[in-house]
Amino acid sequence: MELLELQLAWQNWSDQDIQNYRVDETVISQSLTKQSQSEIALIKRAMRIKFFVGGLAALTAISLSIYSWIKPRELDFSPVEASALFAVLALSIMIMLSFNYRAFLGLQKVQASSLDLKSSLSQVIRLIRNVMNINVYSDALMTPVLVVWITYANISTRGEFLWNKHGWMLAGLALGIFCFSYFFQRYTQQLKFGRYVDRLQSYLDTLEKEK
Amino acid sequence: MNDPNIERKFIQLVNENQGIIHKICSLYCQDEEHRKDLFQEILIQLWQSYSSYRGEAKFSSWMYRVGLNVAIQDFRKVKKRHQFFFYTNEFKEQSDGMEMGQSEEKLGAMHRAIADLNRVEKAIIMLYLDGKSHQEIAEIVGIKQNYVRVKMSRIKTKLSQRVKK
Repeated sequence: MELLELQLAWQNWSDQDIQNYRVDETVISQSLTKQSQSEIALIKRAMRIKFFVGGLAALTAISLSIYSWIKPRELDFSPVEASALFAVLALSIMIMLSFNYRAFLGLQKVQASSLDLKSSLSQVIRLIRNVMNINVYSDALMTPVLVVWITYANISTRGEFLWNKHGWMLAGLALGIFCFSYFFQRYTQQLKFGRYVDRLQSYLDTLEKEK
Repeated sequence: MNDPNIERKFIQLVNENQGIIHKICSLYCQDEEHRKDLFQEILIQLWQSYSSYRGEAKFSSWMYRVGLNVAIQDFRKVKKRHQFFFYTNEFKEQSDGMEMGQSEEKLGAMHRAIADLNRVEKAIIMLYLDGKSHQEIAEIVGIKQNYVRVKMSRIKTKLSQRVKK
């Protein structure tokens, strides 16, 4: 009985509210050109910047890899080492960009869809967790590569790479940096997106308890 | 989506059904600023997903689905203020002229109880108050019809308990 009275009150209030806040078609038309400020839109914008910077970095690395063969005496490393360094960098960046691009397409697909509440929540949670993982692993993989090569450049003499005590040290350094980057990025991603994802998950949980 | 005819038709449909967006904003927003932002966000999202509307369901049902998704997933840092819908004088004036079996105080308590529901429960109660059938609610929310009944029963219990407090 109470809900019936509330229903009447709601309907009467709704009519009044619509009259107070009604907008004309011009306002609607103008709104269509504005930028979305939703979480997904903000993530996509950050990803676009990543594509641009990552793409430039990959192109630069590829160019330097080729350059090291054309003008080997210009660089500190031997042509093989220099070429390997830049090729590994370029490949790592391109692999990460491809994962990012897949995630971007997934977000775009969700934005353009009109799923029911449960499906939409499920998709958005999955996609954002995916983005978080990509950010964690891309940093965890790239940082050791850069640090190890910079360290190697400082400790090695000209010539081909030899597996000696320095080699073990570099391997240990790579592993250590990987672990540190992994946990640090997990922490920062959790700070950035964790609360939002947890909240969405709690809403999804209330819809999934169909008993 | 660059076709002006499609845009024209979209604007017309949204204009005819804009009440849905206003109702969602009233239920989920805490202040005027938030309301304007959410209103705009829903419009943007409706336009972005308009290509997915094939006409198999009512346009209003589609709008509810998109609008509620935006409202539920909206995560803005807003200052804690009174829930907009239930604390305006407009509502009080509106209720003065109506015949009600309960006192205005009890009804106000129930409104505050609705404000305390989580976002998903608000969506379900809103659809119910808007006269949607259990089947329509099930389609919009994405759960089985039986579970809509279960959820409504739980929401009613929650509201009754909070009103009694």
